[in-house]
Amino acid sequence: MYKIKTLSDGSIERYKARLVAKGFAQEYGIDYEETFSPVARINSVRTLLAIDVTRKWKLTQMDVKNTFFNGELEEEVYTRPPPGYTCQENKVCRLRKALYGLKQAPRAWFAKFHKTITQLNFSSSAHDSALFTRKTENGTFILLLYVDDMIITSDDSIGIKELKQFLCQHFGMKDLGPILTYFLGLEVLFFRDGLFLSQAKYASDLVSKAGLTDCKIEHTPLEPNVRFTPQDGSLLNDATLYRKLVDSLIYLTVTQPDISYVVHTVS
Amino acid sequence: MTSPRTTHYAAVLRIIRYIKGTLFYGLHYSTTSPLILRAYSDVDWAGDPSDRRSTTGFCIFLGDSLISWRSKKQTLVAHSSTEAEYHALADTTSEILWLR
Repeated sequence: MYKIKTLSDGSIERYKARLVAKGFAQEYGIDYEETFSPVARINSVRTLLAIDVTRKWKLTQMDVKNTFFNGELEEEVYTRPPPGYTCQENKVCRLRKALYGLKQAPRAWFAKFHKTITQLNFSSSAHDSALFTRKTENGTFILLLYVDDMIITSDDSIGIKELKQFLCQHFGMKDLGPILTYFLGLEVLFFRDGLFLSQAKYASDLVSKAGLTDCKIEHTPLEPNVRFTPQDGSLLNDATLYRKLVDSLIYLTVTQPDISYVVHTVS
Repeated sequence: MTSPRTTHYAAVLRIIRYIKGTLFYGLHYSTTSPLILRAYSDVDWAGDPSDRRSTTGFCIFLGDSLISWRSKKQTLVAHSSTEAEYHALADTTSEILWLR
């Protein structure tokens, strides 16, 4: 698989080539067992930010490069030799580590991360397995993992440095710096008296995706006393666009509780 | 989502037109907020005329910061508004327990 990574101004950042496995050819019970992989709950993200801002702890955002290659496979998985690799005929390759495209790749990565971070006495929260915490005499550490993105916060600044070093030893990490501005598509703005969480760019992209850029603004999200019944109107011929728009609206409820009820009624 | 109709689609477009006016709305978390949990819950008893099920709404604040909320249709038909409120409280409580 080849891809050209571009920067926001359209210039080329780097060329990317990646070997992927044909995950669609895998059979359940033979090539993979479980594929479920936990990600942090959005409530955890908001709670962490709300607590963090009152305690004035430093936030660090990091991401993991080539995330899924870190996963170790429990199952025996074989692939055809990659193009350009010469070996004897009728031979196949056995995978030791996960490849992108494999059904169990996200799960294998989470298991590997869990194993690594627990070596540092971090424990995963009983309510959100992607939220890890550690308490020492120097302070409290909170680490929140969302696939390959993570935010780390603590009142112990030396401890954070050590934690970063530890992570860099085990995985290829990219340090996105101490100021959180963008996480999972959420825009985070810090002020002296607090922080502001919004999805302005996501929302404006949604408005143009729906082709409503030049439309009149509504002051309420729903007409009063509207009840949907299965008899009104007619069935949509093609629900693809509808589903896409509703999916985007569901994601928009992450910072907009005012549309939570209406979005629930149309989803 | 399973069988959307033209009426649903019209509602979706209306929500997006509303969004257009609220692009810069968001959540504000204050540095001076106390760390106390407060929760509010409500229900519209038998709000859906076709299946008589009620919808729960709740929101949970940590001090002044809104951290969790949901609007969710109850899975069973409540026979009284008290029963509907009771289910709403139970759902809200389980969310509070989770947050603690």
